[in-house]
Amino acid sequence: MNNYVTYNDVEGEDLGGGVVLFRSAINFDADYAFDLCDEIVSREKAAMYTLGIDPETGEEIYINRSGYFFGKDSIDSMPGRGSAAHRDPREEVIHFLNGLEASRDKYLFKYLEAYPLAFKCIWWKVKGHIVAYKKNAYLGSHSDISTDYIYGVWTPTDQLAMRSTVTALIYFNDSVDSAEELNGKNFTGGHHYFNYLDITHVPKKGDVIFFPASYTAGHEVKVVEDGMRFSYLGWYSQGTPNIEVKESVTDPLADPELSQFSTNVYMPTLAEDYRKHLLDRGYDEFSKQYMITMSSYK
Amino acid sequence: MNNHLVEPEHLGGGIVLFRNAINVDQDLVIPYIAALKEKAVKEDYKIIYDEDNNPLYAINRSGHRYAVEDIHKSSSHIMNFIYEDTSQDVIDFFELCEKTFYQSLLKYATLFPMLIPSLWWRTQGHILAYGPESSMGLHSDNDVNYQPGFEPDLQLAIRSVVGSIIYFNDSVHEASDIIKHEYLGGEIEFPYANVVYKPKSGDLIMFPSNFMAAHNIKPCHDGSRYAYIGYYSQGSAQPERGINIIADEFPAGKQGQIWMPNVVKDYVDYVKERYSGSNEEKINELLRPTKRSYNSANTLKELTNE
Repeated sequence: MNNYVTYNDVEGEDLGGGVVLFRSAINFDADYAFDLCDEIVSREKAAMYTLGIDPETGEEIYINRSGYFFGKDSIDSMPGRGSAAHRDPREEVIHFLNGLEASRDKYLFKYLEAYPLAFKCIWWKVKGHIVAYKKNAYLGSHSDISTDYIYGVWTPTDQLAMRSTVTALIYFNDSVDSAEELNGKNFTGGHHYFNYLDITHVPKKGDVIFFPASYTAGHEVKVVEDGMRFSYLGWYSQGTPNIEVKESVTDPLADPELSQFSTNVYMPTLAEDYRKHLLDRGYDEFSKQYMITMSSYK
Repeated sequence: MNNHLVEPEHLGGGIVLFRNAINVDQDLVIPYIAALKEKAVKEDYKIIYDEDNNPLYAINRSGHRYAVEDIHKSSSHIMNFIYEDTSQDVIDFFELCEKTFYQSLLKYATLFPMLIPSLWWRTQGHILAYGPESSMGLHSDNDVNYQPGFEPDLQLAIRSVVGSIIYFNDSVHEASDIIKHEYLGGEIEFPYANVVYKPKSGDLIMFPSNFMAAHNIKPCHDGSRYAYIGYYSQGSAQPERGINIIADEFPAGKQGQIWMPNVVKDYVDYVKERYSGSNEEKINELLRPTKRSYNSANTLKELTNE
């Protein structure tokens, strides 16, 4: 089978500002991942937009489901998303995605060893979705907790992002230096840059990177010069869901079936699993990491 | 009574110091606060008793448990500090604290412009008092002490993005340096950012509310440590979790969450004034987050047309 994800148990590199990189952290079949990403993202784009012609200008444009026109260049310069990946009907796909989830949860524990206090602000997770950058696509600087609010102008109807504590990214292919190395599966450019920390990460297949969702780790993705850039992006978050602003979180204990398809799920065994991880890693019950997981610490 | 337009000093990790941002008339402010502290301790903690009426533990307003004998070792939050008989000088001083917070926020945002879209409303400041022998363990301001299966009633703290503190009196190095309103210890430590700050009267610090700026307060000795604290936050109201945001401005001393309708405009005006004559690229970089910019196709189109 080519849909297996292997956890490599590597140690993190603290790049500063709470950014921790696990290089070559997981193994998987690169061709399988590439084709799957491409397929899922193309499918979602096709469901969202139809290619058409602007009757006034004669230019090629995208028309969305509500009938609005969008410039072709503006859509193609943004990353495409595979947000519904976890609702894929194929069992083998779910197996692959769950493999990614299991690995990133294990690396979360290693992240928490370095930043134990983050544990207190993680209640549930947002499972990963696929992010795809075509040639010339980029993402401007932003923080992951921002939803572009401006008083009186725009109150976001979806406020899930604000609840994030930690972001986790997995890379499916390599950023390479030259066109000769593209091999049809890699890309040039597309570096991940943390503006206030002056940290650049050049994505490589199997890298897993964690960073705070707040503004100090604000970042941008530089232009992809050639090829396709695929990654898998998820969060660890907190707060009682507020359904009015599209925060809906499933409890796997209450609804195991639904939670398989939901992107947002509680982590009821987080404390237990993390404590076990700590003991396995040689932390004792009096370590600050372990103590934090026990009730009231103040 | 005045404040100063001082420049921010980035200590690291988003922790920013504005030295001597405000003049504190200590003989006016400190005796006033000291008198309120005793009352605040009673309001802050609820003692829980067992069946035989023996005290079990104390619980504070955020839901954290304390041993009853430990109450005096932690800080008191003085939420109500303006009364009918409060002098106009004291009222003016706390209003100046709020004004200084806001001016500092605009300057802070020039260091981290991506903060701007996360500034929706503010929490009116309150007084933080540490008596002798008190301290505070490591915590982050976004932590509401969640346990699986137990979601706290009050989740206001989760919404805060950045906090602001003004110090009212000095931490000094030796007992012999204590003249009147000083104390020993009481430094604030940020272990993940590797920053330690020793309070000075009139200084203002701002720092992220998330885990990266987790902090602890070292034990305070031979005096009391007084400060004023407020938060800037985001998100729609969720009244069943204690998140209510009130539209109107109201005077210092009254608690609540207040919208900030002008924060983007005020920031833009500040940047244009402060950086007039600077290169355009710098100004554009500072102002970019004030335009809806990165996550909708509509906006990209709007920007392209601009």
